[in-house]
Amino acid sequence: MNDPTPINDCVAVSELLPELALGTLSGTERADVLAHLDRCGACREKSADWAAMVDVFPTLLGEAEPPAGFEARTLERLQADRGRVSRRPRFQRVLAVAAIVAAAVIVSVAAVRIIDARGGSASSDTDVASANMVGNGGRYAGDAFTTSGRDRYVFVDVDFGVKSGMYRIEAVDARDRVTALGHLAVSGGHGAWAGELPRSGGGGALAMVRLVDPSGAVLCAARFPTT
Amino acid sequence: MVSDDALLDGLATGDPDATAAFIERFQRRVFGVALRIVNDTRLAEDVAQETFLRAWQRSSAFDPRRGTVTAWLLTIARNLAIDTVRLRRVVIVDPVEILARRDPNQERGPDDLAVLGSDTERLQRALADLPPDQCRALVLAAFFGQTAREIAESESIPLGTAKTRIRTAMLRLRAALVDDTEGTE
Repeated sequence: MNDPTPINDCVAVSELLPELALGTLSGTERADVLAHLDRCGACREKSADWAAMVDVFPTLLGEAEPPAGFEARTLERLQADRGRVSRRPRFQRVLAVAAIVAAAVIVSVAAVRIIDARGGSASSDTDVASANMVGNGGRYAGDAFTTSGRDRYVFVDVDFGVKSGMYRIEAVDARDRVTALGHLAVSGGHGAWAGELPRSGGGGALAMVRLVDPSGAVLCAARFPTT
Repeated sequence: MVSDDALLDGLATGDPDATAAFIERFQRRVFGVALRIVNDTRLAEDVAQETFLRAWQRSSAFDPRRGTVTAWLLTIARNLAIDTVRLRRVVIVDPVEILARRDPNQERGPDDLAVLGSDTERLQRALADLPPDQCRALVLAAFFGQTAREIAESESIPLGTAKTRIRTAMLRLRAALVDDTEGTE
């Protein structure tokens, strides 16, 4: 038998946990250890302890004064990258949402009109209105879409600057009445939700769709014209 | 003083003031890690800038239950610096010397003082007490990303010896942390 014996007992794995935490295990050893950790809670705990210690290592290296202008150059680079992220996908998302809504909701309608809050539209029988989800200080956080017609739907697409977690989606009508629509899971900065907008008893038009965290704080909101 | 976690939240949401404050607060530590490992000012600036970019891109992955913002951020810097060392074939200076060059008067944020400072000081003392061959092996692994096999080759020692040095050094450091923690409780 030529295959090396897999490392799969707790004693053998424990000896390799320091190197696993340092990230210096060979590929085979690493695969064996990770396979064992998948099955063994006790070793996972030990592994977490080692990892916590290794996390402190970089602090041992101390500080150094960056070159003049470092802070400004870094800010510039961040802003440039943020601009790319926030601008690039919007048009594609608008088209994708229009296609989804047209296919899933408005079966009999041949075309869908997209009304962007910033202007521009094309005629058809049914409308899809879109608005930016905006956070504190006017920061772009994603887009919200809603259809017109007898059955109305809402689509929320968060794509920027929202931490991972579960958030409540609320609709607010023109008379400030709030309706919980559902929950949106954000992971890795991204999350999307689609659902029906309940018919308002008072007939109030949809004025806002907003994302609310578990503490009740509004993270971002999209406003729709009600006239 | 605004907490590190709050500044990271601001960075994540694109708040310009929080972003500037985040960079201002961490730039010396991030640049320090990068410079000590890559040993070149221009490369270190690239690594440090990339670190802040990654921090923004991955801010949603930060879990305060698993450690401080500083430890999380500096780990990003360490990993990027190690990648740079490997990619650019940077010449490694005396591994033990990179620890000696740190500034003992560095400032720490409010979150560090509570958690990180004490661990850092304990680890520094424990590292200083390690036999030089164990300290070298540990530094090569921890800060230059070398595997035991690479350390065995560069130090001209058997693979088993390299593994033993790394493991023994790590056990001694952990023992120092545990002993000190128990001693203060």
